[in-house]
Amino acid sequence: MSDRASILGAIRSAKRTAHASEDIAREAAALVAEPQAIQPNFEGATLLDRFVAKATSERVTATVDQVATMGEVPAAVSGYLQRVEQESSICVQGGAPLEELDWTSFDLTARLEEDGRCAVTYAEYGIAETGSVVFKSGAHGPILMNFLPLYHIVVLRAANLIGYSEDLWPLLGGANVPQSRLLTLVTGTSGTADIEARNVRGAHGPKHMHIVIVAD
Amino acid sequence: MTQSEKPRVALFVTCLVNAMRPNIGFATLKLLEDAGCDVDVPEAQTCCGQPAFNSGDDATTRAIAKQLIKTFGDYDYVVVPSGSCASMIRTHYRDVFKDEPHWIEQQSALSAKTWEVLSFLSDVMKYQPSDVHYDGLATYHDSCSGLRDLGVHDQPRALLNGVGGLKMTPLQDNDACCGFGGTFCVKYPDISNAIVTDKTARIAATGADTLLAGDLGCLMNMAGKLSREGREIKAYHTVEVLAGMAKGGGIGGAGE
Amino acid sequence: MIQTSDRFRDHVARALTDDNLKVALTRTTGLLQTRRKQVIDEYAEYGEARKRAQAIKEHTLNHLDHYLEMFEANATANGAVVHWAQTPQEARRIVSEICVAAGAKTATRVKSMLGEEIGIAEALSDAGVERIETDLAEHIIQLADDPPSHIVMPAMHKTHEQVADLFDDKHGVAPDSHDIPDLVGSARRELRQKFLNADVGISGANFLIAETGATVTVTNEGNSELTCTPPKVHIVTVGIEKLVPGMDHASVFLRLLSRAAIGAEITQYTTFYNGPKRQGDADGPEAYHIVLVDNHRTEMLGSDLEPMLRCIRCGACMNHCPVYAAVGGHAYGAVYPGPMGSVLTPALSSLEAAKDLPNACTLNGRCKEVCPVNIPLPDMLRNLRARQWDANLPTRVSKAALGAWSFLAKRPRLYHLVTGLGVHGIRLWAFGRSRIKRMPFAGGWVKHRDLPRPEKGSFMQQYNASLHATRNRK
Ligand code: SF4
Repeated sequence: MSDRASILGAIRSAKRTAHASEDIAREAAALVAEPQAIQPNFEGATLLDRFVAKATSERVTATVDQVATMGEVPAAVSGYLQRVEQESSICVQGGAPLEELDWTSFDLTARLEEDGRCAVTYAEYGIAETGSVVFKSGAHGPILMNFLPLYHIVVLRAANLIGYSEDLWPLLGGANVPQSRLLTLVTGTSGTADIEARNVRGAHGPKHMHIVIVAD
Repeated sequence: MTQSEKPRVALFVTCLVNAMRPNIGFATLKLLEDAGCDVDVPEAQTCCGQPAFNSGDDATTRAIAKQLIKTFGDYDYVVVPSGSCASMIRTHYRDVFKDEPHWIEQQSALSAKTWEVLSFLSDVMKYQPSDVHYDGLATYHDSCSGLRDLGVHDQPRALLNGVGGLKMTPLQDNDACCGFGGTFCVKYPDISNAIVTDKTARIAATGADTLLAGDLGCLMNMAGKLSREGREIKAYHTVEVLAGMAKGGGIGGAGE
Repeated sequence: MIQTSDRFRDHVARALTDDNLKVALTRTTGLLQTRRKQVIDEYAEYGEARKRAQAIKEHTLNHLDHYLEMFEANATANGAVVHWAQTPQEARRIVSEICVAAGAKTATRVKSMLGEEIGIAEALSDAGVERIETDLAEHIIQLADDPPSHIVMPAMHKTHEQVADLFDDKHGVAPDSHDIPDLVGSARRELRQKFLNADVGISGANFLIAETGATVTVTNEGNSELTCTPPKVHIVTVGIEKLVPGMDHASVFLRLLSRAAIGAEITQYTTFYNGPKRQGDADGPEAYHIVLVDNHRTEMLGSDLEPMLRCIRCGACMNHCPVYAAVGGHAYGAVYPGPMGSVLTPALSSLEAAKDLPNACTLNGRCKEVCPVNIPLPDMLRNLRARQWDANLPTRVSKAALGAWSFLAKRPRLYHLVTGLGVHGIRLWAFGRSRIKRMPFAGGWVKHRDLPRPEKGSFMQQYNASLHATRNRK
């Protein structure tokens, strides 16, 4: 007997009862009905307020800039790099909407592998509950742009802010739509508490995260 | 109140109190009477069966439990000066009878009317001590079974609030185990010692002169360690203070 | 790792005299407790979330066959190759074969307890593949050649001073200083190129999503994505109990896992892997394998150990366990230490091989209290003791002692006679002193603490005497 058959067989003999798929699905749905009952309540704060508060909290440690239009993003990036005293050699994620911006004042590089770099990537969504930003892998550029640089600059449209992770799943197209290889919820920077439970940032990837929120 | 209106309460002193610290039994008796109970001490009582239960000997536990059900079944309440023994009867007896369903009814009836003394005084009898005095600065350790199985936490503090002269100071990690664990402390004495050493260090750090708790096992463990370490901190069961019977050197042994 | 739970007592003796261990444990467990408490207190909906999490796991386990098939179908449609392994040996064989077929020389690895459980290290060495642990703690213990001592922080037993010495010795470039941030920086320097050059990346999964076929990893370091993206092959090894029905169900657990584990609302990186590189993708592996492992889990289904299959490996139970805090993780001599390990190890090996584990517990209940899926760990440990009793495993001496006591406890008259005499005996032994420091048959007690001299007579004796006195007066 194959391992597959033995495992499934063992489960069936332990559980004995078989159920119709629809009944199981109904029971499963009931278990997550009314998600408000378990979602941290932030009534009274806007999505933007909550997102900024969480992203800049002591536990997440990002910094945030707010600009009016996409066109202002390069200037915001440049301002940030000056503040943190970094040279303006950066990697910018390909594809819309970042590629079409005016990056002429920057030294654009593709050498992401080298340590100590700065990358600018575009987040598809922001989750207000936790201050997380959401990325998907695809043709627009290596997903590793979010994991390798020391400085991670994230561009996020305010319109793409959502409340909770439960609000994200339907936006991905549901169970029947082919998903990107990788979907990631990033909350702050690469950290570790593996030595004496002390929190240290910049374990393998970003040590600093800066989020530019675009209002339009 | 006439005799008949008083709840009929059976005092189950527990084997440890019976042998090592009868004063706790008498203090409990006094408090129950002061609180307006008609108290009886059934002579056929021995132990709740916890040592057998925690050793995995379910057959013996069941035999002891049946005897206890027979001895205590007719009272309105069974009151125990120990969270751990009370919880044995209240929450664990049903595990013992899972294979003997015809006992379940009697067992649940007994479980439902069994109370740890401090929660009984406070929650059921709405008792508040008056006219008792204890001069000292005390800290409180919450014994595990009482705290987690029975929710005994606020009651002792509320009751102690009524004791004149008594000041309380919080204990860090008041809800962490003291390392007693019944047979655990003799089966794994060195681990138990490591745990109780942390506990006595925390107790000493409060600056209190008195340690209070609601379980004699834990108290003997902590007091025995405090005594071995040469620390001058007296230990009492909470009922001893509430009954005005906290006299002498306390549970650590400093004499009668 | 070779299980040595049968030498628990030796391990304990060594642990209790290890000063570094004591320092390492005190520096960590307290911090983890405080951080957890803080975020749980802030999460007003915690109680309801915990209830739902338990119900979701129960539901999934009740229909595990259904969800496994659903997961397999969806993962396959995503482009994954799904393998099934009933035993660790079979899982290792599958992993080795994939590595050999890929001509792999090096493999990066993200920490997963299932990987430890099935012996991934052995599988890789069988395939002639150099293993590179990328989780900082796993990196440390790989260099030190230690087994893990905690399921979330496998190097919890090491002080930063010990880590500094290790890195000085083993890193290509020594750390800039012995401060913790520089130690982390040194590991970063050491690992970066290895991430990028590996042939195979191996991860576990915190969750499997049946409805989408995704495997999910949750990390703080971001080492999972760095492990699973550059190599040409990504292998996931995962226990079959990690399933949840859908994404909304995953949301429930994401809120609980990092709160319980590290005291954060969410970990830095929560990543869903849906298959190999898609056409046009700028990066990602060409091949993606998922190995579904049973290893005794189906035996636990339907038994009184089934609740253990709800475990999400958060480590909260060990962070709050007084025994763990005293002896550390290595004492348990098994992959899984602490309360959950004391339940799981006998289930994964045998009652005999882990005789001490269910007994070395005070049954204080704090582990259950902090468990985000409400696993009744103390009750399960107690039940294991009952199984041991039925299998006649307790020693003759302890059986005899308990037998004598039970004999008395069942005979009230005799019991009171004997306790009365016993009390008298102990009083005599005290020779007039109020404290007893040495006593036969009580070595375990008086080795470390004093025994008070009992009062004159047991409660029953005194009570009966006073009843007599009042009656006579009347
Ligand atoms: S048993 Fe509970 S507390 Fe322990 S690791 Fe598993 S989920 Fe966490």
